[in-house]
Amino acid sequence: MPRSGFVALIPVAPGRLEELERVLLSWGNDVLLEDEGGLKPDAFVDFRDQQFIHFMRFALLKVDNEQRLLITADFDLEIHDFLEFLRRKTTCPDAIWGLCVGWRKEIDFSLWFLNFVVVPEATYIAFPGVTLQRVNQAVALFKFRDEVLSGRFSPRRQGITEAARILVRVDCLFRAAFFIRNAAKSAYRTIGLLFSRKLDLSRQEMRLLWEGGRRVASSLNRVWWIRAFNILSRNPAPVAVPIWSSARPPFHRLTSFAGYPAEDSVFQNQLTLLTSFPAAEEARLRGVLRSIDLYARGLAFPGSLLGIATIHTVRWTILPDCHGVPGRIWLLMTSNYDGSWDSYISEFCARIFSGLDAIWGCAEGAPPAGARDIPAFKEFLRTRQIPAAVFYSAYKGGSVSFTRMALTLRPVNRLIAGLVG
Amino acid sequence: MKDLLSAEDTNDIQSWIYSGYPHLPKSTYAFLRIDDQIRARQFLKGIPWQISSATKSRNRQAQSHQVLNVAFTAMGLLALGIDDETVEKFPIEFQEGMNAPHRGAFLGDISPGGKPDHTVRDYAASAVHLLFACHFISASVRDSWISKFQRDSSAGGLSLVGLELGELADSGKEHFGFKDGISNPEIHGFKGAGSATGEFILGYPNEQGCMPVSPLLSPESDPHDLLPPAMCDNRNMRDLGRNGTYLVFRKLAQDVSAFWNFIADDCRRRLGRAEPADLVWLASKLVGRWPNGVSLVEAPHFDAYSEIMQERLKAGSLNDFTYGQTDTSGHRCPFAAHVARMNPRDRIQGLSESEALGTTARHRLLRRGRRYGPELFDLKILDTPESWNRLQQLFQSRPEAQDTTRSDRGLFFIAFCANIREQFEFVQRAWGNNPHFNSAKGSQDPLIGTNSSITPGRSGIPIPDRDGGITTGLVPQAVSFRGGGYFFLPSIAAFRWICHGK
Ligand code: HEM
Repeated sequence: MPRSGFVALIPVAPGRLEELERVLLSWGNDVLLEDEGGLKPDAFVDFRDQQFIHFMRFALLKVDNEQRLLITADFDLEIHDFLEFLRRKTTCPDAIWGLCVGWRKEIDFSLWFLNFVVVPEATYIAFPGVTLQRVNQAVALFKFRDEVLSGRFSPRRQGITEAARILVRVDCLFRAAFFIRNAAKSAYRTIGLLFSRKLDLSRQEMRLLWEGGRRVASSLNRVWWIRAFNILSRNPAPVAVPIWSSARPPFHRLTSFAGYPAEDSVFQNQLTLLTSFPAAEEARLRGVLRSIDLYARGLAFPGSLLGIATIHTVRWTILPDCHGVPGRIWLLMTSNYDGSWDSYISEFCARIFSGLDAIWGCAEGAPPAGARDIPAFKEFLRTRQIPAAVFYSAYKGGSVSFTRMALTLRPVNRLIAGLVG
Repeated sequence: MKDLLSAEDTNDIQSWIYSGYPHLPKSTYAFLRIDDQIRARQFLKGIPWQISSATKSRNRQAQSHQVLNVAFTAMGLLALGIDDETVEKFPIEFQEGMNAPHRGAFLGDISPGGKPDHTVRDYAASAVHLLFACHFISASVRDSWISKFQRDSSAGGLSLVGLELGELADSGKEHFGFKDGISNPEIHGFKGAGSATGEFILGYPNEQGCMPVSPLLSPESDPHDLLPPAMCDNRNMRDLGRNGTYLVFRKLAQDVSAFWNFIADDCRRRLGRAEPADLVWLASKLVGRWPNGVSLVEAPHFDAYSEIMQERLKAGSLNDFTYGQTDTSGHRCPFAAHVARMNPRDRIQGLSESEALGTTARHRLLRRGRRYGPELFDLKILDTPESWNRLQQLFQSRPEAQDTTRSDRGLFFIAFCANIREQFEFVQRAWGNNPHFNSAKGSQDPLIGTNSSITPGRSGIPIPDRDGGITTGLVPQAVSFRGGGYFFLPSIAAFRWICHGK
């Protein structure tokens, strides 16, 4: 089963927004630590009970005065099969899809839905190609290994525990093997990408891509090969002149606690961010995003986006056909990440601020000093963040770094499991 | 970017930022309300002469028997007639204060539904305008200061909302029995090494090369030329914050018998016995240091006479360690221990050691806390195994009998930071209360976590070792919040400006 995912933006029928919101809010939300507690609402898409959805979210957002229903999902199916699954699991379609533009009972759900699926400009997936089943299996094996090592599992079979302890000593070999395999894969993928037709760019696009990549890379000297790139391409790090924080009320006051107050106590969280740009920036923005996309599809190692190991998936989408305000474009970012909002944003601002500035530097309302001004940048994001009405994560308890470890050590852990029989 | 502070600036900084006054064991915190603006202003105009500066503190000869520091709440600035426009230039967390309902919920002081989890507030913090914090060499000096201050302040149009007495024990211990106040960041501007000055003092660049939020005023607002010009690209403005900082004050009651009884119960639950060595071991795993202050990383086993312990204690070098190199997997100092949560140093999961150091550098606190109330038992018995038996006698039977003065003791948690949101609130929330921080496996900070029913699916504290380790039972809420606030500790020049008004 291939792993895929989508971002869909479905226009909500005029006047039906509140109704739709009420329906969605009754489904439970992993960010708010809500559980529907066994009670199933009447109108429902009962997608939780399966083994192939990694993440899913529903949110309501307004782009240039048009209300839309945003749905994002990551799953291990072909998109058609997934949409068929959604259709089957919808208990009262009139009360959900019926509130959106253009849906009627008679029409083909998949075809209707596909109209609204938008193609992201850049996509990063922590473990591309790894199915949820495989993740769960690796995690289960890892937990089993802990049990065996602690001797609690089979106190009478000391020999097994001892053997397991010896096996664990060679963890490093498996880590090395994992590293080498991934390095080879990255190289292979990158070469493949460079020669693929997808990269059939005009000279102008090529230049924007190159410049975008350089801007993103400029503060990333801590990654050795980017340092080499920066030296070779004479790409100096941004000069750190002291700057004044522009985080100031009343801008501040309005927004401190928009979104969820509970965003620090959840295992997985989501960020839905809608920012606007002057249309003149579009080409440049696409260049930057494309360079990120290229990196994510090619060089990126499993579980690490430029050394940041809290992101499960992230997609940047430039919204098509938003004609409300001429001269303005919209960028939608949807991500699923581990842990607290505060840490997540701080980490980004501190460690890849050149990347954030390359993307959002010329967004409307971005702080003049950019992402280095963490308080102001956080406020900028908070004001543009859209709370999810429904959020689902299959990784209850499994962070990216833990998942990576479980996947890396899966072969050893299988051996250990084999010993026990 | 990282320069030493000039003599002029050091002269302008309140000395509390420079020193925690280890030579002045007694302290008092007077919380005041301004009743009469005119008289209060007159009274306060005489104060700057009494406030000692960092220069004085640095110059040991000039150390006196009492040292005064003064800080304001946002309400206090307004009550003194500072205009809204100026007060609104302060960061929102300072304006709203620690007790605003959503901030309380954010900090875990109130459950998210709005139901106060701690109904007891020792004083209504919204009415507090000023904090006079004074440190003394002895209780008698303190007493005479207090009686004089009470007279003067009421004549000066101020009324006393609360008066708290703090102390620094000879042993340096807080009430659970652990040596406190060991680890504190150095400020680059003072020492030429350590954290960027702007992490703790306004008006200087912080670790990100960014100037913390500070109220900048137009020159017209400062007709007497009291304030220094703002740095960098704002030189035409005056900086009200420069050389000042924000002060976080929290009165935290400690239920000592609840803490030690939990330890004893948990040992009994797991081992079927509660030997003194087991008790000290478990309590130290929760704190992250041995009772005498030696880190678990440096001395994984307690042996009071081991070389390493003797050497560390003698040299007083209790803080020269990191976790990353020696203790990647938390077998010595658990990830979930209080000190490892509050300052994970170079050990944060998913980050390399140097990245983790970079991260922690942005979330540090300059702590100046003092404890209050009498010791429940002689805490020094924890330092030598010979006297541990006493501990066992104390906590063998059920708790209620042992502590009649319940909750009458605790810690005044006091910390300075240039950005309350990114430092104090972040540490409390994203590190302390976060059940998923750094392998916490559903647990919260064993000392300061909300540790109540607020967090669904909460679990005990994981203590890993080579063989998988243990998980404690659910930790009781032995520390509870009794009130507090966010204050602005101005520079001496800013203090003068505040008293003069526009
Ligand atoms: C009654 C409550 C508390 C008790 C009993 C307590 C106790 C302790 C002890 C025994 C230490 C070790 C001594 C040292 O390293 O200096 C310590 C360190 C520390 N505590 Fe607390 N503490 C309390 C509340 C808090 C709070 C509310 C915070 C902040 C939100 C905090 C932040 C810290 C920090 C930052 C350290 C230094 C860690 C390091 O740098 O290694 N503590 N505490």
